[in-house]
Amino acid sequence: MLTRIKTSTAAIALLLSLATALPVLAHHSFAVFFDSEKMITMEGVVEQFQFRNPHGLISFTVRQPDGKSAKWRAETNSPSILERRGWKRDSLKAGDQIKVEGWPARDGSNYMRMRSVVRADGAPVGVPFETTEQK
Amino acid sequence: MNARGLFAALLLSAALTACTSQSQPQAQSQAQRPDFSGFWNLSRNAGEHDPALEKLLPEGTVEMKDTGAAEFGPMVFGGLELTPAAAAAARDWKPEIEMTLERVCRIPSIVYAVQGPFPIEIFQDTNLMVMRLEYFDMTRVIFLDGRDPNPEGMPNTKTGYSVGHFEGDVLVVTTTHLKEATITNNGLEHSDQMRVIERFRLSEDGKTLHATQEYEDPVMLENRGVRYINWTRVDGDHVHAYDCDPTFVEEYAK
Repeated sequence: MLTRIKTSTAAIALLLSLATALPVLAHHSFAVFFDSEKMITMEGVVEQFQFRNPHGLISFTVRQPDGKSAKWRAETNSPSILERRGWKRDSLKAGDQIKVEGWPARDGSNYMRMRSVVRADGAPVGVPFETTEQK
Repeated sequence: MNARGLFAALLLSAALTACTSQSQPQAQSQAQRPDFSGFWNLSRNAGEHDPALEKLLPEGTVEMKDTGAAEFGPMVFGGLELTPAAAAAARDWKPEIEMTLERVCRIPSIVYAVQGPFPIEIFQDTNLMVMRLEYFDMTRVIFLDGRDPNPEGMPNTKTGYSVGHFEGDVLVVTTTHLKEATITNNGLEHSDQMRVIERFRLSEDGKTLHATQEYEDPVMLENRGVRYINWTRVDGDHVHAYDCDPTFVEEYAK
């Protein structure tokens, strides 16, 4: 399994273009905890999906280029917001292969803020934030 | 309720409304008032200016430009000038403390919660408006009956004490008695002396709810700030439970 981390001008431009469509932040400050000028994409296997406020949490294992495994966690929006975008409590199950795109934690830990999730076949989980203004 | 019962209820309601109008001659009649009732999602252009509300702002009010998803980084406060006490507290603030069991579910006040990216739902009647916020399951009560705006013995809470009146098609709401809470979610807190003035106005097609939320806090702010807020009407939806679970931080700490 490949691990891919991207930080590119294109990603930053995309982020800026989606400024008004950023995922629901609030609670603990996004700007303080995450680097909005970087975007990363991580591929891995779901270990656990917790669907609760103030944030959902996807715990997943990433196979690194050196063959070792690393545990990552992706914090999601509030579940009530995600529900309006088609997410459910069981949208992700242990063993699911996923690709998570989002913003990395400023402290350099294996923690990120989710922007979108797609399955191994490329199908998005829920409705991506940039494609629907409302429900 | 059968037809006769419904007729009697309507008659009673009309009579009560008439009595209320007689006791408050300055009040605008219900028929003339815009009705803000409904479910409202923060608009994509959440912080866009409504020109009609913009011209009502006092001169010198600074716009904070962090409505909705946007948030300020450390020691950035969108033009707000902090008193020495507020600045010292902001400098001492550490983001890590927000990710503790004690604070992760700390409820904000309406200063941060209303502009946040969560939806609201409004129920409006002649003398009362109820605003439910999905964020932290908050419920605001806004009195529209002309009662005392500064009653004695009112406790400070995160939703405060709100009285409103209509100026034409604009609902003006003044809120006091707020409990200390964050303003910008990055270390700047307001005091219990915070006074919030909100103006709400419907778009001509009724699909957008425009608002401004002004802040005055002599303890923490040297100047006056405002956020523009816009919501889009969504029929058939309602606020969901928030039900904050502080054990979230246990995962963060791993």
